[in-house]
Amino acid sequence: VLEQLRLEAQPGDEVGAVEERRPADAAPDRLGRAHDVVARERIAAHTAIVDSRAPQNAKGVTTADHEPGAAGQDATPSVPRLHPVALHVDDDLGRPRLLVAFRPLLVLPHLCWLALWSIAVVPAVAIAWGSAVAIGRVPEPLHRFLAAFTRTAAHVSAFLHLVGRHYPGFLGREGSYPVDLTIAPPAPQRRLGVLARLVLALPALVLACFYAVLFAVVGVLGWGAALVTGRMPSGLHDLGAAALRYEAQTAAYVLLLTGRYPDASPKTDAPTPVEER
Amino acid sequence: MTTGARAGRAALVAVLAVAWVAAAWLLYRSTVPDDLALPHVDVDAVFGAAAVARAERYERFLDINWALGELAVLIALAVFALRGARLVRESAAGPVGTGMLLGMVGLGLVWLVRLPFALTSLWWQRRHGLSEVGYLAAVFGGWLELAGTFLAIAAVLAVVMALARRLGSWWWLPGSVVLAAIATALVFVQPYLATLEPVHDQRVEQAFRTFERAQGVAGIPLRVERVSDRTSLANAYAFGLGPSRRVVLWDTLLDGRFTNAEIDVVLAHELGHQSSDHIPRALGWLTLFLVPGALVVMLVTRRRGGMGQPQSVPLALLAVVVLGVVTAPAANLVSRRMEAEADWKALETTRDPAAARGLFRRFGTTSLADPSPPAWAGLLFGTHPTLADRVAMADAWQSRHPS
Repeated sequence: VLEQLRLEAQPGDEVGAVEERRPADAAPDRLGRAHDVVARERIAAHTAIVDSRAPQNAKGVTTADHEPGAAGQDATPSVPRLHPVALHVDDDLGRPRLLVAFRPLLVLPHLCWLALWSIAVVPAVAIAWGSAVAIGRVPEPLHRFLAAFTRTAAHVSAFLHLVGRHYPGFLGREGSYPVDLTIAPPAPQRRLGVLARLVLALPALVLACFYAVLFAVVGVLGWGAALVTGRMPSGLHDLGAAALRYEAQTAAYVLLLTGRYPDASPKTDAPTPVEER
Repeated sequence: MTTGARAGRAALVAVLAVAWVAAAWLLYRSTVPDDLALPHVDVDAVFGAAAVARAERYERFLDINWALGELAVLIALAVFALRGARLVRESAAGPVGTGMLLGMVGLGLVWLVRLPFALTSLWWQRRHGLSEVGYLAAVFGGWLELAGTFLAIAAVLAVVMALARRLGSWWWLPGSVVLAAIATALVFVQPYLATLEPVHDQRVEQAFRTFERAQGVAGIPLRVERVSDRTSLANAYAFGLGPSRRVVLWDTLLDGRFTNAEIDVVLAHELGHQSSDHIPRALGWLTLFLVPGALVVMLVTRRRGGMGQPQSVPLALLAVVVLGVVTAPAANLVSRRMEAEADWKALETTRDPAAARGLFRRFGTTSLADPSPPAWAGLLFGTHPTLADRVAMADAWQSRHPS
């Protein structure tokens, strides 16, 4: 129904439009530290993160992450393996003051929408959990549904905390927002790990709480700074991106989107080392 | 467009116009006798010359402050209508989501522009001892209300834009009905969201039940709203629909400044609103204003691609605010007629014109209400009859009931 109402633009429209519409003075941002997150993604070490959006690479990530055989065939076991839930930042640091001033109020429709959505997420997670215990993986439609929810929440969180510049959409389509979450397709998960998921997630959830506080501080400081200067300080931006990534990976772990534990490293530019299952 | 289509459209407009006039006539009816002539009231003699002069000075300042504030809002929205469309590139939320964004930003702009005028008004009220609200509380205390307004405008724009994208230039007809339905739902829900207390005064409760029977209604809860920590103004109101109907007294009305007979007039007045179905009728009027209003917005935004396009939203906001100012005299006329009917019902119920006169005189001093404001102020702000007219109605009622 939302698609019929055209709440969202056509897939791919937004990114293209954002790229085209970026103000001319945005160029220096690309050279600044905050854009290191973007720029570094384009260097060799980060090729996999960027390319994971492409179907063949997404598949590659999945294989490497979740198929022990495939990992075992790897000629070099020390080759870093990417986390199945990756954050991509392709935004500039400019923040129009009018949108900064009322930012907490502007996300209210999204928060209401996410609250409504979460009513359906609870039973969906329960079914996904039952399925994963029974067959060792989350069914594709459920995975897609939960991934869209997680992605939308990440988009909204990025906007609210000024990590993202643009107003986010409501449907959580991949590639629809410059601060985006790539979530690998469903893969086999250990049944025991699924069974004890909430208990196993406790340490990550505790750390996520600390990250949430940090994220809130970033949001408040960034709000003040952006209101005065019209720009998000690059350090705060990077810190916010790191917090957002951890929050998203924790959510994805709890919601059974991946069996990989969240990566606690605050660095957003280093691929996670291979962890053999 | 073919001649047949043109004729069809003209016929539809004619049918709508006739239906509009018929509905307006039905809604405008009142139990106040048509031949009721209000006698002249010497305001200086009734209210006291010094009190009248003080109230005039107090209200004129607020009127001018309000007018300047509205002018500033119109200028800000005109600039937003010209330049706001560029914010479209700040959104990745699709056309409807972007429209919601622009609507909320426009609302935020209006709030920002009005803020200094609201603070000036607060300063003036504090200076006259009518408000105890702090300046910080005035700026930051209303966030919940502001959040509700943001959500409401987002919801309205989502509905309007979705309809416009589906129905093209005909969205205004079902759109105004849908908006009226949303307003009705909000009016119904509102009493359940308000923080109100029961009345502890048995005499007031008993008087209220007696007046209920006299006016042919039953089971309407009487509640008290605590406002004495913010203001010394006294007031009361009726709200809700069907099972959510309520009559609410401000606790400042029960603080001993008003006599029992005067409080009874207030109770009967508010019950008069409920027994005369003023709230459903006000919603009917809202629908009648919404239909042509939505048509005007559709016509105004056509050049920017219509309401289906987010670029039209800033212009639509400007059009709505201009329409609000232009239709204020008509809306105030309707409101004054309902208030006069409630006053008349209060007189018929309490049969105590002296208490009514006493109440309105006291309002002149406790609320610094100008008993006889200039015509332009009455047109723009007069939601209630002037205090002089209300005293005159009590006199007129007494002359019809000499015993």
